[in-house]
Amino acid sequence: MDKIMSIEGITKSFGGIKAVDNVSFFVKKGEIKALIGPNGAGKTTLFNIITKLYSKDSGKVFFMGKDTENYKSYELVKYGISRTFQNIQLIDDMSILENVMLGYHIKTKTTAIDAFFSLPKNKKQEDKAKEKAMETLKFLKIDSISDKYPNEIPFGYKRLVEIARALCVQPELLLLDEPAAGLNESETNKLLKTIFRIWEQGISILLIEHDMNLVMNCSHSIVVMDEGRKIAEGLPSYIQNDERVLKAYFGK
Amino acid sequence: MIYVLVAIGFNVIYSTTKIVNFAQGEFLMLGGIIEFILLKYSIPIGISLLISSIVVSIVAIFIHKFLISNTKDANELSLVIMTIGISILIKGVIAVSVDKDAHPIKHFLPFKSVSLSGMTFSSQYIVVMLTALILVFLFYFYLKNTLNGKIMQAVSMNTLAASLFGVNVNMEQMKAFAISGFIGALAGATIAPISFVQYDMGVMFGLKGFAACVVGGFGNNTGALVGGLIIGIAESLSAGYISSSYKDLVAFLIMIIVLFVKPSGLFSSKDVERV
Amino acid sequence: MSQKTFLLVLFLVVMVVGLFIKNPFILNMLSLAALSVIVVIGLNLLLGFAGQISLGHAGFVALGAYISSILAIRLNINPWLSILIAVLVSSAFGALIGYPTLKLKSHYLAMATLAIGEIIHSIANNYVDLTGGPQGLAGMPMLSIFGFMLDNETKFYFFIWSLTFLLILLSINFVNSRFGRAYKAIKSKENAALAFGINVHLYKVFIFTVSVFYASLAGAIYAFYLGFISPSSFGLTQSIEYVVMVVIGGMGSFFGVFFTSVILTILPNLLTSLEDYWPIANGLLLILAMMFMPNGLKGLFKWIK
Repeated sequence: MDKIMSIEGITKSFGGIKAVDNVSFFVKKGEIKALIGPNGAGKTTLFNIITKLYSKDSGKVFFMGKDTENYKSYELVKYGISRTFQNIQLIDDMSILENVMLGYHIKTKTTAIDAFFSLPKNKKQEDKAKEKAMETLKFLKIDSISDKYPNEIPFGYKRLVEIARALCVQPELLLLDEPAAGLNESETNKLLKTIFRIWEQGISILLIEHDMNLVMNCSHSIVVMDEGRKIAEGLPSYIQNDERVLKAYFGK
Repeated sequence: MIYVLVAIGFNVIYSTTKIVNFAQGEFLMLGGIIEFILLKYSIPIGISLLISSIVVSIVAIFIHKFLISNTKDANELSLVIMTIGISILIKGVIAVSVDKDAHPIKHFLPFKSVSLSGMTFSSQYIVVMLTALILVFLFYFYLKNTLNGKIMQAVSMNTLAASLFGVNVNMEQMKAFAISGFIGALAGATIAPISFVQYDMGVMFGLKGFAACVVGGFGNNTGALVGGLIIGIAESLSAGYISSSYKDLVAFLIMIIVLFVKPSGLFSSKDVERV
Repeated sequence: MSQKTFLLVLFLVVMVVGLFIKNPFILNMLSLAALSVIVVIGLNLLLGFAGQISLGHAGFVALGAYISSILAIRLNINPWLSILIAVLVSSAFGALIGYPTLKLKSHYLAMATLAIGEIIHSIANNYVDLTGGPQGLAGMPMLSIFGFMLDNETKFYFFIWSLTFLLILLSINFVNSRFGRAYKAIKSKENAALAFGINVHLYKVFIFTVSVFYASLAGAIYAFYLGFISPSSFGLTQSIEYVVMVVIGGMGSFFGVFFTSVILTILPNLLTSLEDYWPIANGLLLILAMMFMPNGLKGLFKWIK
């Protein structure tokens, strides 16, 4: 059992309120792990701590056995962690293809000099990025929209483009932040299949999700958070019947 | 002391709206200019001070209501550009409608200078000192001890939450502009006898007030007080010991050092400025 | 039409114009416009792509102009070498200022550059021994290329416009690379930029340095072209003017800012009697643009891909 990421005792408060309170769990290599919980449970805060957008008060995050304490937010993708955003973060004045190419940024080695003088290396690297981006779009079956701009495509596609952009670098671990938010039922079903196909490529996945159905159907194990604390962890079948979870979710 | 007032002027607007008002210096200039015009018609100093402060408050409200509120894609950059536009517009209008000359204004007190243990300085410094102290005190009192002030603080801490509790955020922001305009104008009008009144006097005061904010920590009023004092004292010392032509550099030098060493300012609040 | 084709067409037009115009006054005005274009193209990289604003670009122009002039006059250094040193020193200075301020929100850079601009202006005015004070500096030698003296308006016109187009071409290349994508991400979705491995702070410092490079280069050439510089050409008003050119031209639109900087450089020269009204016009332009046209004239050039 190989841990790809382990989270140990993360705590974070905002102005006296503990948004995340001593949360620990780990993601196994090659599994789909879901992090669920009602609104305000601290899931997104935890995500932002993992991705270094927030600082934490205490605790540690290990990735592939290494302490990530000194990693900078922009270095994570280099180490193999890639993410999507809940509130879509596509760049409006770039085409879908360019947006996905942005995801491939660190794998291209063009220097500023190459770029200013448009040297052959620049073109070579651009072609490589384009090819990779196209490949990823094809894999997600949305290559037909590569020339469009974000405001020209439906919402469901934007979610997929977000995933394509994060997937383009072939990360070890993919973090999905509420990928089903705002999707209808058939789109959610498609998303479910897509997540499985990504997983089949050997990429571990940690996803935050609200949609219980999606989570129950796609994840290997689930962590449940409520009011900043981890209240349960286990297999979907176990979580489904856990009293504390039902209480947190349905107030029973 | 005058920089404390400019710094507080910046803070009032910044904390409620997250806008750094590049026209803050122009509030000072307007205050001075209006006072100068009123004094020309031999209106008593007290009344002209009041009128100029009120007029500038109204200008500030106007700016908020018609310009700031109507900014498209109101992100940080466009608001910065907006207030820069406002600043040079005000300056340009004054340059054309009044003139570009520097105008002296007579001291508020009947005697021109005071001697204190061998040093002679302008009596106006006393007026500036007192005005600043009173304004700072009133402002603190307003924030801490009145309902209105508390609401304004709530807005500055969490705009969304305040609006959920039924606070009219837009109204609070407008008030912030009005207060800032009032403080700015009063500062400009009291400093005028020392600095003279000129259409472009706002730039330097604005910059140094900003420097005071940076030194003290943006959005922090205690910081503004300390930052303003540090800048002011450093400036007078350098004018006295080095040369008055390098006086202006000192404020910026201090600001740049603080930016290097502790960019959140000496009194950094929890509201982290780093991105 | 592609960007580069349009650039070529524009280049040919400008060259042909140069062949037909003989009036030195007009040629001089157009050459000054080219120098503005260089500054503004650099500022456009900063403001239009990275979303960071500088209110001290006239100061950086002055830095290039003064350093190169002082080296050439006082130390008798070769003009081109003086220009090179001036531009490198100015750019390094830009990086030094950008490093702490660009960690912070964008108004810090705005204020810091405003302050730097004022400091440079005040040094130029007060440090008479070195800068000549308000009277300025004169006597810079004429530039020559491979022994070919740029000794009349026409020659200089061709030289400066060729250089300008070269610099525009380089900028277009740059933004059409992975760096262009990175800066667009930094401008609109900084968190996404971080998530995809872009060191946002370093990128901002870099582009700021590049824009100071453009500004100081224009300043240095300006000094040798006119053979005379004085502080009054490099004040805050001029810095704001550059910002207006970028904003009205459309942040991020090379051709938009090209045309606005040419027009806004020429107009004040023609309408000198309205000098006092320019600041008002500039203020209004900025305010109206932010209220109604945040993209300036960018839309006019949409057909150039």
